[in-house]
Amino acid sequence: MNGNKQNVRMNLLQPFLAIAGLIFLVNLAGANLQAQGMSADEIVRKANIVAYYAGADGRSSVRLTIVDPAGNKRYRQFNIVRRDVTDAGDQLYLVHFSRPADVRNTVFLVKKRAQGDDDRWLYLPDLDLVKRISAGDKRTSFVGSHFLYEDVSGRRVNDDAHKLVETTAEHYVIENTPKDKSGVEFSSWKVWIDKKTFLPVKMEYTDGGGKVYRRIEAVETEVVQGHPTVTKMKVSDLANGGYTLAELRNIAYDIDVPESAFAEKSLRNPPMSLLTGRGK
Amino acid sequence: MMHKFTLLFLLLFGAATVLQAQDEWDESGDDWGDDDWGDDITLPEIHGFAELAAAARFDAGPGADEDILLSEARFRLDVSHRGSVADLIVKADFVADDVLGLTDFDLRQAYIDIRAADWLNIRAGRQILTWGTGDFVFLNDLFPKDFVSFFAGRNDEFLKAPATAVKFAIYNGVANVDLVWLPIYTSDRFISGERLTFFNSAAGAIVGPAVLEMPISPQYPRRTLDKGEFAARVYRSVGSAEISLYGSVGFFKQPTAFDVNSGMPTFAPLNTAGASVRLPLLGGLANAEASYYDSADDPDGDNPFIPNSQIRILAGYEHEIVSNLTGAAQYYLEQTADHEALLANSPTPQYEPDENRQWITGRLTLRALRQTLQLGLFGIYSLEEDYHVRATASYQWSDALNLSFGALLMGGEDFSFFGGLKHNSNAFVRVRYGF
Repeated sequence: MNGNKQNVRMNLLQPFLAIAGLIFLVNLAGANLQAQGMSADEIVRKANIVAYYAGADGRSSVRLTIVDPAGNKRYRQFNIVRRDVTDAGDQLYLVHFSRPADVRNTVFLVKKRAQGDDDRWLYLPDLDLVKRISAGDKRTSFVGSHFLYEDVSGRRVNDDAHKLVETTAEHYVIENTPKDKSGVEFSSWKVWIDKKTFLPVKMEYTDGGGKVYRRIEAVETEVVQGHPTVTKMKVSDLANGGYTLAELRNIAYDIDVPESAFAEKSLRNPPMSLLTGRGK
Repeated sequence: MMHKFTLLFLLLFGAATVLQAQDEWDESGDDWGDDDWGDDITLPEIHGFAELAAAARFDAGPGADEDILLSEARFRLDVSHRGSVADLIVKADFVADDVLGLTDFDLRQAYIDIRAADWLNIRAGRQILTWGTGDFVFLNDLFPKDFVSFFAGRNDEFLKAPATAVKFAIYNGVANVDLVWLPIYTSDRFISGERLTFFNSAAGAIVGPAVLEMPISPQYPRRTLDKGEFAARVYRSVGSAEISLYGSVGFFKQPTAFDVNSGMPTFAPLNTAGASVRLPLLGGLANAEASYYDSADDPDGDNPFIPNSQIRILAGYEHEIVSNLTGAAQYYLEQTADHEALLANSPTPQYEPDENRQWITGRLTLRALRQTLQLGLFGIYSLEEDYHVRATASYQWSDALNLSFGALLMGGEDFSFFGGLKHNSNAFVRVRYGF
């Protein structure tokens, strides 16, 4: 893996460049956009594929550091493999937890559907039991972190109306308004999409009072096998304090994950060499 | 001028942001305490927990001379090693039990799991086995349970008792097959009067440690291979639905039969066959299961010393009510075959269960405080008017420390299933430190 490191943390020179080129770039971007003829919907669609459908399949090791408002920390570590059934459509996910000790070897299998409810299973190693989980609210905490299930598997593009509200030197800023307000805790959310890579690098969620209460930021990105990939992420609860840091390593795409890796057998006997990228 | 000021601000803010970010990430790196993310492990992994658990009866009643029914310290050692073709797992509990006044070694799991082929997995040794779709209701799962732990306030995981077995898991495109051989018969850890009080139909009263000279000590099937048990499951998915067929050959798991020769309770032979389906329905999850219990030594149901055959049927539904609150309900029917013959021949017909024993169960689970607090309410109401309620709260203080407390209530007529356990109703508390 030759990751071409590309830090998206605020570069100290960037303010100079940004201000110097601001007038130019705003005009250029507008012209460029019109030339490309990309609508907000098209930008969002492309960003969705870049963020959630890179390659035909992939794997990653993930560490979460969950920090509550009082500063107490909890940790989660897991390996994840993904296979796309159809691009921008159905997907299969297998997640194998290694930390903390009380959830070690718990396995989570998701059949994500573009239409209808996802199918989800959980394997509880202490009972050697495969438990099926009902569809449920996707805007609830993912494994106790500040991430939501929907952040991990991707919100359906068609669930929101998209509006391009700003084009900066580096980003398309899209405002997303849910078509169905029931079942979501935000009134709208904004996403900053990198103009070059189409990777979403920041998301801000606004409540009914117009206040931003939740933010997700890409803190570091790498290009892995040609795919721009977020390797460090932070989600902050701006209303109550507290945040979760996510660090991704051991990322690989197009590793030939067979469909059989998502069969029931994998819950009891997870394919560790696929999950960790290390031969057994 | 204005621009310069803005620039300066941006520079400072930017630097501060970078510094702060670095702090966060560095700290997180330190706290994890390693750099290789632990995936390269070639040595055995060692984990476990230390736990203190206590439970006190609300109303000790007849049969019990102690209010305390659980007071124990437990230390679990969990050693596992993942090899290239096989895994080795050992989970052993060391228990200091203040109620029974003894120290105990409970080997929960000790098995080798062999990836014999792409389509075949063999797990041999002491293991926890379970299958079926019920929630605290078991139809086709004839593997050993521990009802003492379940009613005494231990963690729910202890409801499943270990058994020494060989399990062949066969995977293929048509249908997966699990074959389980338990070479030596293993019964439930049943309520014997050692810790819990219960209704004894021979005595016609609730009895327990205070009145029993010794706990019920039944006659077990011989510990020979010809008394071993077999269980099988064939299962596959059809669309989003999971369909399973089950069968077993063995014995009842509770000493519900009476051996006339020895005058002791015993375990009658039992064969079962059944099926289940589980599927997503209307945004929730529905399940149905049925099983036929063939009491091999009492085919006509007229032997009062051997339980009759039964039909067991279950239907359940689970749905998220609102965010983080899940509700579930089940209907369960246990129909005794040849019920008239049972009553006609029983020495104590007044204590025999109804022909149709029906349960309604309900469960509410609330997860709060970013899933660190879990509140659970589970209830079984029997149409014979006995009931069982489990109210539990579990708080995850940190990744290592868990505090759980709650109450278990049993009630009904003395001779009913849960009514006989009513004087064991208790409040419990547990503290667990995991590593």
